[in-house]
Amino acid sequence: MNDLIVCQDLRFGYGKKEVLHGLNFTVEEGGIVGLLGRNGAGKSTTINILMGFLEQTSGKCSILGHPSYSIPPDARREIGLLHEGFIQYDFMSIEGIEKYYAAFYPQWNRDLYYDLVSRIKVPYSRKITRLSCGQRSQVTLGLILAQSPKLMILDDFSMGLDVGYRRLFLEFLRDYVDTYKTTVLLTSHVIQELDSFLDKILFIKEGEIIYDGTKEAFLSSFYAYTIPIEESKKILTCKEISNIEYGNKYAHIFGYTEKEAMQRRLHAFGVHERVLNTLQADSLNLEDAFVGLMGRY
Amino acid sequence: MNTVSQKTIFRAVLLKEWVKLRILVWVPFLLMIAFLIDTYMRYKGIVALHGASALWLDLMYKQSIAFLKLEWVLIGGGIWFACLQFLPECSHKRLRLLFHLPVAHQLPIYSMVGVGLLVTGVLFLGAYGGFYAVLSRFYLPAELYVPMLKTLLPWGLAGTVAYCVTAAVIAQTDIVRKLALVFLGYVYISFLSETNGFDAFEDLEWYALCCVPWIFAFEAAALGVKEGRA
Repeated sequence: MNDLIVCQDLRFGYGKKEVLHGLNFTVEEGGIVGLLGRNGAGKSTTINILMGFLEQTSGKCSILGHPSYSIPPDARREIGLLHEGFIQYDFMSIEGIEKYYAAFYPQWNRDLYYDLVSRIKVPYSRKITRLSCGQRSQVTLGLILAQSPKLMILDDFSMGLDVGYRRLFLEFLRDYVDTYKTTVLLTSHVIQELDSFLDKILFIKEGEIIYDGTKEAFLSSFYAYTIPIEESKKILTCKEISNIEYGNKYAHIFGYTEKEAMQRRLHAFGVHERVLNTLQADSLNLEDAFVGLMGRY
Repeated sequence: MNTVSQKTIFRAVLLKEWVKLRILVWVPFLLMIAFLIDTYMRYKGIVALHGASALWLDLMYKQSIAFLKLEWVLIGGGIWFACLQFLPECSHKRLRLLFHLPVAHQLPIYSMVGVGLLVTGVLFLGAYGGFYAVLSRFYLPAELYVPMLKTLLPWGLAGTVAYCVTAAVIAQTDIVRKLALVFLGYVYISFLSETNGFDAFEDLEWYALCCVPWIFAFEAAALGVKEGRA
């Protein structure tokens, strides 16, 4: 399969502070890939490098076969980019901005744009600055879809959107991807609604990719166990235990460790037999697993 | 592969610039008209009170510059047009949109700068033509009115520099470079607007040549986006 994005040992720092510590990942043609991480994990920095707004300190980063820092105009025509915060020329009207962008894209799909913006039920002469964040997201998405890009990069698409607009955004995107077979790389720190949406996930934490694979593979190999809080004080994070989240009465232990191995590990820490005998893996959705892997704080 | 013509792109840029400029672009033009009327009224007042000879003497020997406000219209106009164009273009990281357009970034950048310089040029031509019309009302000889008109030339150049400096200052996000641009622009503009008499600048073409690099200042400042500064 054709790799649209390739990052190899990608490193970047702001001044002397390195924020990306050798990222390795690829995005293959087809499907929706989520680059997910908490605030400050390095998602937007990665996107900025991919789009040539930053140059990596070392490593390789290519997009559509071109070095990311010098993407030629023809390749940029194939990339639909959603800038973080739905940046747009918001001094222009809904119809004005469509006319503006149409001039740059020979394969511009005007009907698709108006199909999407007609749903927000505002006059087309209205300036984008007078739209709500949710309405602006629809206009921005419409502009990207109308480009008919080969690859879409959506940087923090969920920022400022309520649940209704998030779902509308994702539904429209899913339909589009299914119809036009466009590849999507999106970043988000909001995992809700993405559960059934992503074909592949990349978890990024403190500038490192800590998981790269399908959601199903992740959820079937990542476990959570609940134990009483007083027993949890005996446990430390280790190879088998990725993270421990403490509640008032119970603590949740997360890791890529199956029940029997986890029981052995907890036994080694001195956890009471009664707790070990009743130990069961909790059922996790993507958001639970995300919190378990990334931590709450 | 399908391609788009430069003409189509230029028309799209024109559309965007028109949206930014259309409401407030007229302000310097209205001020220019007001100051031309003011100049006319001053000269008319001198002729009415003291006669035409007093005006001639004043212009020939004192070289009084009663039209100094036109200098500020031309310089202020340049700053005004740049603000109208580039504040919305550069704020909220919008320059990133420009750098993602599927054309060489020079094309939209110099189309925008071209539009701004054109409007600045029209303002200058308006001031020049209007001032000529004012002077022609007083039947002044060419030996007098030509140097007076030429006095406007360095001011027009100062207005152009003011436009380019303001555009670059707005696009520049690094505060030290921004201050350096302000200082350098101030030196250029002060020099070009230094006026003690009519047609004080000889070899203006050399001064104009020295101002040419300012045309590239906006692009240089905007490229900060590619350094991650916006």
